[in-house]
Amino acid sequence: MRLNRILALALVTLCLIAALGNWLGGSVGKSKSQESANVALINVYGVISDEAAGGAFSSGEGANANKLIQSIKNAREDENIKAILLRINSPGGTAAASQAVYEELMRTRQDTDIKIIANLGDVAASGGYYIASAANHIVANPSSITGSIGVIVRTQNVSSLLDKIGVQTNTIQSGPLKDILSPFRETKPEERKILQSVVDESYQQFLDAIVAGRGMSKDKLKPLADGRIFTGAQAKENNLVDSLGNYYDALKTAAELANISGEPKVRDFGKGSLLGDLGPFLSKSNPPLPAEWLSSDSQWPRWHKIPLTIME
Amino acid sequence: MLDTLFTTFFGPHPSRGQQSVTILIGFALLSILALNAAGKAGTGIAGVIIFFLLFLVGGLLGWLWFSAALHFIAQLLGGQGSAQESLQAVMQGLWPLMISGPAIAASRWPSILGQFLGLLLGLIVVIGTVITLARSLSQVHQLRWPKALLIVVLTLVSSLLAWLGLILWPLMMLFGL
Repeated sequence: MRLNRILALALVTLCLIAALGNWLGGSVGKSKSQESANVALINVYGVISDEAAGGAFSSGEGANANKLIQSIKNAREDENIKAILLRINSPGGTAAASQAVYEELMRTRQDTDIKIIANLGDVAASGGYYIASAANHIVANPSSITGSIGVIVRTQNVSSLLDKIGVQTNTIQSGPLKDILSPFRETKPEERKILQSVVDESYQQFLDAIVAGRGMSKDKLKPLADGRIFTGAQAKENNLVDSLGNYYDALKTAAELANISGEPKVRDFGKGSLLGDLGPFLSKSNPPLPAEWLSSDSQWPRWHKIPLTIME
Repeated sequence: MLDTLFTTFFGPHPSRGQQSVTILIGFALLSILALNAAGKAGTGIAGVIIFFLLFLVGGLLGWLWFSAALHFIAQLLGGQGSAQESLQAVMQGLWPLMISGPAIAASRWPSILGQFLGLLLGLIVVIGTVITLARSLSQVHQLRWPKALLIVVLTLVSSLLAWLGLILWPLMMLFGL
């Protein structure tokens, strides 16, 4: 009977150890194709904003700046990665979030041999272009919308509307400028001055970033940086992008610049680590909003308590 | 308990009625399947826990419904066991599913031998599960094993038909009303 016990225990133990190995082989070791990937794909889709980094249940989708920075960092620390391919489809976002992602990309460019290639999708305007300007090479579709280099702060005065329906607003504030951008009154001249200085400062930072990233002179850039938008083809003519093409052209360029022989192996570094599509429903960070709502005039950052400079 | 586990695995007759063995097999099965799933999804420890909890809920529901269907058909065909015995028979009959751990591990080996071994163990899992289910049932309900095998097959078919009905009925209501 002793042998029976040992056999029963051995069978259960063997099965459990094998299953444990299956788990460790899948999650810790990653699959072989993932291990040998030499191009890191990072998607920058939607409005770029600074949210809490996703937890274990994060899907990893969207243009959450913290998540993007984490993905860039992970790619930089992966010894096999020779190029980062940014796929950008974003109307912009907040200045700080775009800048944070740009800085992380520039750090990667300066500290490593990793080549960064940006592939512009439907739209890569304003904050989207801010991020793209950190790339060694930008590939756009001829009809991609890009540019919109500038900073904007917008406020509404709804006081006359509220008067019509008999709503009065009372504000108690600690200082005269605490309710700057209040929609319940006209903007005061001193407030306008402050806001203009903030916009100007952010704009200068934006220009400096493009100058550093693209190796372009400020004199050449300034006439293009009045907020206008460009098609991909126009942007190419104006040296805002380097070549025209689609995702596969961008991948080919990445392979050439990074001296990757043979077929480049791509791994999506933005993919969530747990339960994929269930992520957004279980995420501890804010749930994503519908795409059409996000893209409509970039409403999301404005109403999400992110103040001041918005790149639209 | 290990003796009972051994006899459940390799000589089922004297082991029936042991609740502890049923629980042990259930727990081991859940753990192995959750680890396999977490490995496939490439998740961390949180994923293992979530898969375990999901499989616990899903497994309990499936176990109850499958056992109920099996018991019902067995009674129709002259079975004499109780519902509790049917429940235990189903859980203990599922033990070959534990071999899915080694089967998946073997299939990941790079050589052709790994592929072959994985396929072989996979077949053992499928065929072994059906056979042990049929044997457990034949024992509990005092039926001949071909009849027990028929009951298992009928239960599987009726469960699939129930699923089909579950999908088709709402569609019928959706388009018909």
